[in-house]
Amino acid sequence: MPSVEFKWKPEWKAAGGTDSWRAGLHLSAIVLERNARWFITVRWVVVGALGLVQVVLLFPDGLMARMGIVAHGWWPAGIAGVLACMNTVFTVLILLPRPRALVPPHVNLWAQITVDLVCLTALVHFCGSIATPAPFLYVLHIVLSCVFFSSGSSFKVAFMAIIFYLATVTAEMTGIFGRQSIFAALEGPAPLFSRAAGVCWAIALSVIFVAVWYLVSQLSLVIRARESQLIDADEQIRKTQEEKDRYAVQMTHQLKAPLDAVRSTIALITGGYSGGVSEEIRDLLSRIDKRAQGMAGLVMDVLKLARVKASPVRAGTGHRFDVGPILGRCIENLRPVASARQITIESSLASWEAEGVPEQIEMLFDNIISNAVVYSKNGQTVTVACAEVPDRNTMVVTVSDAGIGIEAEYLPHIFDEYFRSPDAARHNSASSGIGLAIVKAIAQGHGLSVRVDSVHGAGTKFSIGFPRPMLKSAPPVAPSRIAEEKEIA
Amino acid sequence: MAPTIAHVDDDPDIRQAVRKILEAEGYVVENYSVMADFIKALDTRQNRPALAVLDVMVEKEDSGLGAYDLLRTKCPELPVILLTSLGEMVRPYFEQENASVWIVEKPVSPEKLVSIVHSKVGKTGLLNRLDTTSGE
Repeated sequence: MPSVEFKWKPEWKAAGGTDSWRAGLHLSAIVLERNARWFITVRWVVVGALGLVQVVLLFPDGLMARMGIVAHGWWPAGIAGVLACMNTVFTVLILLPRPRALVPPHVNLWAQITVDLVCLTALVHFCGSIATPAPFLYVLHIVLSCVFFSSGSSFKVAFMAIIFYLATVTAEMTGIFGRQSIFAALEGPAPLFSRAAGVCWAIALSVIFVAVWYLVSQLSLVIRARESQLIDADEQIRKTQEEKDRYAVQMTHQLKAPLDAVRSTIALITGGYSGGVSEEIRDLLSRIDKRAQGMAGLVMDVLKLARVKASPVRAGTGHRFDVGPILGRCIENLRPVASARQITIESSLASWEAEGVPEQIEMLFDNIISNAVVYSKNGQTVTVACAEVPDRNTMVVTVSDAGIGIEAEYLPHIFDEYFRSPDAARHNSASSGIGLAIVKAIAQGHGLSVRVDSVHGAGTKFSIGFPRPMLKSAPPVAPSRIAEEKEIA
Repeated sequence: MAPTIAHVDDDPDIRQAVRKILEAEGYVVENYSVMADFIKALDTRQNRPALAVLDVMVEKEDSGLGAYDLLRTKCPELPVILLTSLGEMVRPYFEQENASVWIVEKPVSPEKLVSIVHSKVGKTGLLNRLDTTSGE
């Protein structure tokens, strides 16, 4: 049996998204909290690194000693201990609901920055404030603050770094603290560097800190301006889309309203509300009505397709809903149409959850099942069944008919807009050729797979796969419905 | 006394069709071409209609929906049938509505319209008499 399986990639991007991006620009409480969590994670890495340094330094003849690096006392472990304790406090403040309400994220973040700068200053002092590159670690903090905060806030961080560093150098030069260095060669009773060198280092690094703050914050401003422009453009596209949808709705209404008026008048005449009419007139009116119905259907299908395309389902934005009742409702809605041609709809339903737009899923089922009815011959049976495929973690809905089928050469094109195979066009002249394009757009938006098996002249089977269904224990409702339907038929 | 049904539609052919169908069932039908006239009539008259059949796209889209909101504020209990060319496509505009709103897609199907009106306001005495007669 010729078959073809369709699996369309969703057009939306599941990861990230405009909302989080937009929130990042405004540094909302959520974004600040996210930044605080990131800092906590990085700080644990620093704690681990300092602990490792302490362990290595415990071996006097170890690698560090051979490289000429020595450490006095337990300052790496001390700094690591302080950072670990404070990090635990910050984590608790973020994780627990009550403290989080008492300590806002921005206070938490500023407390972290202050603790970091104090610990870094201690590290700079013990490593050597003017004898090692350790003071350049301040630059890391300044750059991060420029990325995560506004220019004003990042300047505060840069200012704090300068003050802390100048205080350290001043304290060392005035003899409040003894000068330190991790380089063994620089140790000894003599001053490590002259006072002039200390002043030179302090001024030079302060200038570097300010320069780094200025350059990075300016760069950050440019990037944020670009982000802002992108957000504005995104908003403009959204508004344009809404306008387009409004226009489509109004156009559809304007195009369909005269047809509805014509068909309403025909219904009035054929219903006998304006006196009796001859069979010939009734037949002619029926023909007019059928053509008007086809045109009205086309207009509505164009609008439906435009709307489905204009509002794709985004990850996490849809509703969770039970698909079973929707499928059941579609079948019940189509039973009168099927019964008019002595077509039986047999169904075996199940209950499972999907995420998305319920109205669109209903539209998808309505299109596929009504196609099965339309392209069946009088007196035939259409079967709708649900079955779980455990190894693929999928719920599959199959809609089978024994109707006219689809020629193998046309099978790959049936989801194209306005496509109708010659047989289909002959069998149903009122078809718009848009129904399956709507199915494709909905399946694409919801991440559904559609498999079509068809034998020309013998029937078609559509299999719609719903990924990762959350199955409920509702029993199938098939037996009674089938029996009831057979009795009616 | 037969229940009164208010019908608002800017299309004269639809107004004529609805009037003929419902009057044949014994109802009193009041036609309005714009929602504003209907709402004005609600303010001036004492007896309110038993049911309103509305075309929500009457006038402009927004003013039609805005007028509908105003109607809901004035008569929250009034049963409403939305008779619209867009059918279920207008459902998202009325997601918050309760079960007292029915959406019926045009064209006007006499059987469907009469069936819904019966379920909303009950059959008229005329229809009951016809039923009894046909039953005999």
